[in-house]
This record gives sequence, structure tokens and C-alpha cells, in this order.
Amino acid sequence: MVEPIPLRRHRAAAGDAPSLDDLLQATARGDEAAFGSTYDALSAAVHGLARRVVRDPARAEEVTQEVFLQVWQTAHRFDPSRGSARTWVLTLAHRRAVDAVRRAQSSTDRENRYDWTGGADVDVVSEEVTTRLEHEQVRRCLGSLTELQREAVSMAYYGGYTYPEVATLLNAGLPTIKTRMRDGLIRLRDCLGVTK
Amino acid sequence: MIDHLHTLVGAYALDALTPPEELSFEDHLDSCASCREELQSLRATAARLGSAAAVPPAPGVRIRLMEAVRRTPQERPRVVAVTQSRWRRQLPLLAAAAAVLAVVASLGAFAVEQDRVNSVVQAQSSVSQVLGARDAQDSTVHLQGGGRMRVVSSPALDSAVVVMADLPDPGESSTYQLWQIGASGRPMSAGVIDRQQLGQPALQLLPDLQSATALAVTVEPVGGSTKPTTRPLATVDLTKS
Repeated sequence: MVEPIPLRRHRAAAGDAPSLDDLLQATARGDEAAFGSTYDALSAAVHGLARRVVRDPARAEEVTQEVFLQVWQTAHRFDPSRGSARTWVLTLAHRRAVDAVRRAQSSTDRENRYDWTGGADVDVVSEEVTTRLEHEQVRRCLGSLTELQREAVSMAYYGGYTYPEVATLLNAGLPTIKTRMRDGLIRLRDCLGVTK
Repeated sequence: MIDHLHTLVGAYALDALTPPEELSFEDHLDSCASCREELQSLRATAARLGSAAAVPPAPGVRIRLMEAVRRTPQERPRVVAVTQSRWRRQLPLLAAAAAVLAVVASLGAFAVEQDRVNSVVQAQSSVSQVLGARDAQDSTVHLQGGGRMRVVSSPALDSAVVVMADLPDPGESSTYQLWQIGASGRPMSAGVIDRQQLGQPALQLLPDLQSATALAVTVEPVGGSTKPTTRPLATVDLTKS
């Protein structure tokens, strides 16, 4: 009998491989092997996100490397009571990718570079089953948002636009976009069953 | 105003705020436990959007990274001799400063990065340097008649970052002007707030304080004055630690 594939990757049972939280805390103590394992677990997510935001493959690799070097240097700031290791690293990654794209490109340039289709590029998405399931679940939940919510959230997250830029591009008011980003994320959170 | 700030939590979780709004939202977070809780869950949600885009990097990235790691010392948690309440008060600022510091540090680590740096980024990194300075002092004062001014200053860098928020409209032909006051006691203009920007938080970098001992803000005619023509609505002492 085939077991269903668990969606959550890091449901670390007792005696299991160390959780990402443990790995990051070991990294904070200078454990290079733990850092390597952290990289192996999260590099696809960080790199994929960087690819979506900065578009340029060479630049995305640089951003990936910068993010993990920052993880190495600042791992002691990770506080498990305030969220998971994955969230911590992806928050750093998004920030850095957004900073890279904002300083690199004029807005017209960025419009051409933004992937307007939404969702990850299927042909380059890892074949890893868990990634595909994660991708499908996120895609389904993005589909449950209103069009404006989805566009506002995607353009900010994947396009690296500020909310005033999103408002201009979508021809909507600032308060509307601000609100749609919040209620869009809340709806997404509830659909994905995110607890923390 | 609180409601207005609270709704920014979504844009903040998506890194979609402008820098001055980001600072004022972080100020707000400091005093809003429900915002921090909501932010945690929205950040975790945003991270799922990131995970869903996963694409493994080329193997060379790991090799270069592990080499860089061997050469790169880790930051150590710093033990600071401050009282608990002061420490708590500074935490969000320190966190923000840490984030920008990390960016600045890695700018140094990657020479290629430097080529991409333009003047805008240089201005931003100066803001980062002030916020991350070891001797940074942080004070917030309320303006007479409304509004807040938050000043983070570094004597070592002889620089300060000023954020003014929630300023009431001082009338059609007036605006707010910032002054730095040196040992001579004579105020020097440190910038005029653009009337167009009055509705949103204003961020001003003062890169050359010339050892000023205080900052002050007054209402002046649009375009600013060469010396203050009204009484200060607020002053910040830069000499206290």
C-alpha cells in the first residue's frame, strides 16, 4: 500500500533527521555541515524566488549566494518563537531579491521583465514531488483570490513592486491596493492552512 | 491613523512599502502585539509563495558559497550594557538596522555588487549606516500641534536620519523646515518638507551634522527660510546618550 506523500516537508518526528530550525540554530554556532544541510533544504526555494523576482539567471544565482551568506552571518538572529526557519530564510531572500531588482532596473524595463502569467514557470519547476504539490496547492489557493487581490499580491511578491507602483500599474487607488494586499494574503493564508 | 497603519501589514509582509513608510510601520509594530502576530502569519504565507517557485540552483553556487563561508566570520550576539527597558525599546530599530547592516556588509563582500551601486543606493546605504551605527541614538518627540519626529543619530558618523510622520497641514503656503543647531547656536537649514509629501512619512538623511548639538523643526513659508521665523514645534537634543 502506497503511503500518501506528506505535503509538509518538515514534520520532524522524534528520532528523525534534524529539523530546519535545529539546523539553523546549529549554523548559528558555526556548524558548517549544518549550514550545508540548510542550504540543501532551502536553496531551491531561495533560488526559484530570486529567479522570479530578478529574472536574470546570473543575477538570481548571485542573490542566492548573498542570501545564504547572510544566513551564515546572522543565523543567531533567528528566533524560532517568531516563525519557522523556512519563513525566516525566505523573508531574507525576498527582501534581497526585491532590493536587487529595485536598484537594477527602470520601471519600464521591469514591466517587460515581469512574468505576467502568474505562478512558477512550469517547465523549470523542479520535478521534486513535494515541490510540485506545494506549487499546485499555492496555485489553487491563488485561484481562490479575487483578480485584484491576486494581481496585487503577485506583482508585489513576484514582481518586486512597491504598493504605489502596483496601484499605478493596475490603475487603482492606493488605499484599495493596500487593502487588497492584506485581505488577499489573509485569504491565501486561510486557504493554505498556514498557522504561523 | 492606527487603522491606517495596521492595514499596511499586508504590503509590509510583501516588502512593498516605501522606505519611510516601512520605518513608521516598524515603529507601529513596536506597540501593536496583534500586528506582530498577523505579520508572522502573513510572512509565513508569503514564504509559501516563494517555496512554490522552487528551482534548484546550479551546483557551482553551493561550491562558491561554501568557500565564501570559510572566509566569512559570523556575527556574534553582542552583549550590550543597557537596561532592559531601553533594550526592549530599541529592538525593532535594531532589527531593522541589522537587516540593512547585513546588506551593507555583503555589499562589501561581493565586489561585483559595487559596480551596480548608483547614487540612490549610496544614499540608502548611508541611511543604513546611521541606523546600524554602534553609537546610534534613537529618540522620538511629538510636535506641538500634532505629528511625530523620530531621530536616529550617530556622533561617530556625524549623521542622522529623521523621520517625520502624521504632520498636520500647516496651511496652504507653509511647510515644515528642519534645522540643525551647532555650537554657535545658529540654526542651519537641514531640509524642507515638500508640501506634496505631507500626507506620508518623510525621511530625511542629514549626512553632515557638523557636530550639531540639536535638531529643531519649525513652520516656514513654502520653499523654506534662511533662518527660523517661528518658534520650534519640537527639538531633539543630540548630545544626550
